Amino acid sequence: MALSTIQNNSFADTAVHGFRNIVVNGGLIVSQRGDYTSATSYSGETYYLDRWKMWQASVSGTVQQTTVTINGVTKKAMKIVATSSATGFIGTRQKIELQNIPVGVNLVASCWVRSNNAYTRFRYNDFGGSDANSPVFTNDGNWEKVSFSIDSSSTTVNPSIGLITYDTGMVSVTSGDYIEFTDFQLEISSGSPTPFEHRPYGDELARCQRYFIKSVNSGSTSYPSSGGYSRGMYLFPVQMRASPTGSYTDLGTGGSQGGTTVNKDGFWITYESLGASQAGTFDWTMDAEL
Amino acid sequence: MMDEMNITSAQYVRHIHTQQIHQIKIILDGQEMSVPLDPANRHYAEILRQVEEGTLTIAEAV
Repeated sequence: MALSTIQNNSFADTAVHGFRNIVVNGGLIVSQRGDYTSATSYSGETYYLDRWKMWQASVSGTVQQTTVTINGVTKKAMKIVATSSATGFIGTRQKIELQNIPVGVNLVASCWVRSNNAYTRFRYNDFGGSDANSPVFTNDGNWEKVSFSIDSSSTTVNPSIGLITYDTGMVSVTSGDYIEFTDFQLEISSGSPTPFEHRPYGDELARCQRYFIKSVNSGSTSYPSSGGYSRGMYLFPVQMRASPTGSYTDLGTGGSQGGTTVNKDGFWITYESLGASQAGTFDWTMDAEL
Repeated sequence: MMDEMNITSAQYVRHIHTQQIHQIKIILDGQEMSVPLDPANRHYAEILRQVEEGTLTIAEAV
């Protein structure tokens, strides 16, 4: 029902406010690094869909951005599938900046998940100074809404939260085992999770670009000086978390890359040995992930 | 569950104008990357960790 009048209880602590999901890209809608709508082999500790870092040990797997329907609602999701069998684990997690974690309160993580591995569960690292697993989910292949309470009272480093096939150590994973999830939320709560906070794509993209951004079309310098030098300068649409690692791929339209400088706000790149009507062109990526 | 990066080479880079060391050029998983000397950058932190561990040496800038 639309809210036509601001009421006192709209301001109450118990009201469901916006900006409450600490996780970025919890709806799996942003995928700047590439098109992963087909199953893609993944490496451990590597990013594919924005902000989600893959977990993997001893088992090969694929990652995919899927489209699913839950209770009649169509939404994006992430699916991780084991493609070999071993004692190990598959999963994914999101590392979170400590400054975004309210220390001294209880948090609750929640998501929709389906899996066929008996050990699939939440796992966090470095919340409250420790690592822990949630109880295992039902893991019968059907969608279920799951949640897990977290005490962040003594969190002192960047923590992480995610989903994994894990117990007190590695577990049996069989080729074809999978974890698929969506609507991942982490919020301040000492009780039940609130409904997933849907954010517009542009807002979610900007949050992701604090950690990673790449050129959509190629970067370019202007035409050169008489000495054959030219410089391309770029400002990032949002300030990045840290000075990012840059990757610059020359596209062979003339000249050669001379030097680069980067900080949280942008970068410049110098081309040299350019012909009179040549411009240096290049693709670039910037990575300030945790 | 530690972060492990496959860095196969590393070399300091001088700033084109100041000539001060300001980046490390690395090959990570076969791709060339320019890593700023920012302790908050995860690649720089990993370079320092591997150097401390004795598994990586950073070549001098040219």
